[in-house]
Amino acid sequence: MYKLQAQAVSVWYGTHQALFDVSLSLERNQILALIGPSGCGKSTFLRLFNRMNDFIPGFRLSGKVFIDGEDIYAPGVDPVLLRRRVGMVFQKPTPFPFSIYENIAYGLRLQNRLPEKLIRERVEQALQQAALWDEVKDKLKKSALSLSGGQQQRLCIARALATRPSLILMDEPTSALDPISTAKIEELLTDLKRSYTIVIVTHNMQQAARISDYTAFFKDGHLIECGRTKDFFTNPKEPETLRYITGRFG
Amino acid sequence: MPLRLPKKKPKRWGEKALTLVVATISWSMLIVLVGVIGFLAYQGGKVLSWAFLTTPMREGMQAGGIAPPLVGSLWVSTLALLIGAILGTATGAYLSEFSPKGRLHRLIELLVNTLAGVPSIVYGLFGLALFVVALGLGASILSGALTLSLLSLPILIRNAQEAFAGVSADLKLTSLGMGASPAQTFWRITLRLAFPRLITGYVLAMGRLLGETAPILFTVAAYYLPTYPRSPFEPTMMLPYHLYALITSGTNITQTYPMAFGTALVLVSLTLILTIAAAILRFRLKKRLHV
Repeated sequence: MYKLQAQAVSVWYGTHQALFDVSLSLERNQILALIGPSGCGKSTFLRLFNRMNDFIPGFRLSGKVFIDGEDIYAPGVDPVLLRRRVGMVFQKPTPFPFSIYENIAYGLRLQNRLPEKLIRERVEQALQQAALWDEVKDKLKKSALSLSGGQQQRLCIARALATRPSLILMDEPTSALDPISTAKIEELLTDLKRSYTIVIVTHNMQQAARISDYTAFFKDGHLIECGRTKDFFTNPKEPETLRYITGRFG
Repeated sequence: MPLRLPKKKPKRWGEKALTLVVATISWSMLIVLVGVIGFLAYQGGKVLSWAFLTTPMREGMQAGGIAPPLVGSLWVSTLALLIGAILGTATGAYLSEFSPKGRLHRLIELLVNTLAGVPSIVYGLFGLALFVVALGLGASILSGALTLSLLSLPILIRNAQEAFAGVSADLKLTSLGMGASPAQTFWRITLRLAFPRLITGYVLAMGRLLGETAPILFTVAAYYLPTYPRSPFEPTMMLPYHLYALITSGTNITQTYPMAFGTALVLVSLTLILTIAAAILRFRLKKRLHV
């Protein structure tokens, strides 16, 4: 069974069609990179999997989207419960203006009342997984806003991991960061792959080539090509993909 | 192009004239304001004392203190603020965070804006008709507080709307993305982060309520009642109306005149104290929130 699957998905915002008949599937514990020029629909596609597009007025969808074989747009599916199972990291770091500890605990406190001891364990685990524990273990009560940009983004990753999702969505998570922080996060993603499936939108083709197992190229709402990353960049099948990765447009 | 300024600076007369005019106007406004407060303090300071604040008036208002109207004013405006803050914050939250931005939304906004323009005496009349007569509450603290809370609603709604809308949309989305329901996001993120601004709005509204005269005339304020209210169903004296009474109804103006200024000084000081308290509270809340 595929971890996630899109079947003939088209998306409209009002009268504007943002995605055209996109079909794609991904196995578990893989990293899928979504690339393409601005406005090509890659973020829209990413946000299908935690139904964040539902918040945009005029959003409509045809086709089907599955996670673990379950149709997540079927009637009766609660998008709130879905989002608890899918972690999301945004382009800009979005720490809450609370303490580091409370940031990580936020998702855990949304669910049934967990004992504080368990929350503390999960916070430590999440920070360790996000390779941030050693830097913050002595200042968990300090404001999350006191961290550097790169640390804040790793905090956001830790926050997404704390609720133990099986799927993580990342929308250009390193585009606001410096090269060293970017390298740390890329290293982290390769580690996380062992326990998670990751879909990442990136502007940076080299990043896609470095970290992903599969790459999907979008243009004007169409999925042009999707394949194993090593073949995708060395031997693209579509002429438009070749033009994009050799830098002729976008 | 040379970036260095020429030796002889350009005169720029227009700019200088504008600065002069604007500065003069600002300073004269400040002088007027300080003058008013100074005059109040000078005149009112003559009668201001602990006894003035803590004892009732005597000899038909010609002597004694202002404790009953002071207590009455605090009672009524606190109760009014409590009612107004709950209703106003809830409405503001609905308009800013929950209502679909359609025709109903625009209609409510239009109504709120219209309410803000209604003269306060009209609120007084409405309060008289609805609370005092129709609901049978009589001239009472409750009637007055309900009337004043209606008057404060437009400000409190607008304030709440702005406070909630001012919370970063990214943070709200992040919370929703983590699987918080819209209600959880509202309680844990939006309300929490909007709190310092809400508080400021409450205090400013309270300051305005303390000084309102027209809405309390027919709904609560007693002309002469030198006792303290024991329940919200009783009428009470209040500072603005007491001030009016001191100035207009006394036969011994040399005695009541300074008392009127003392009353005014107390009224202004209350507002000032509230404003300062709000600033301190806001500062401390922000610090605790790491904002």
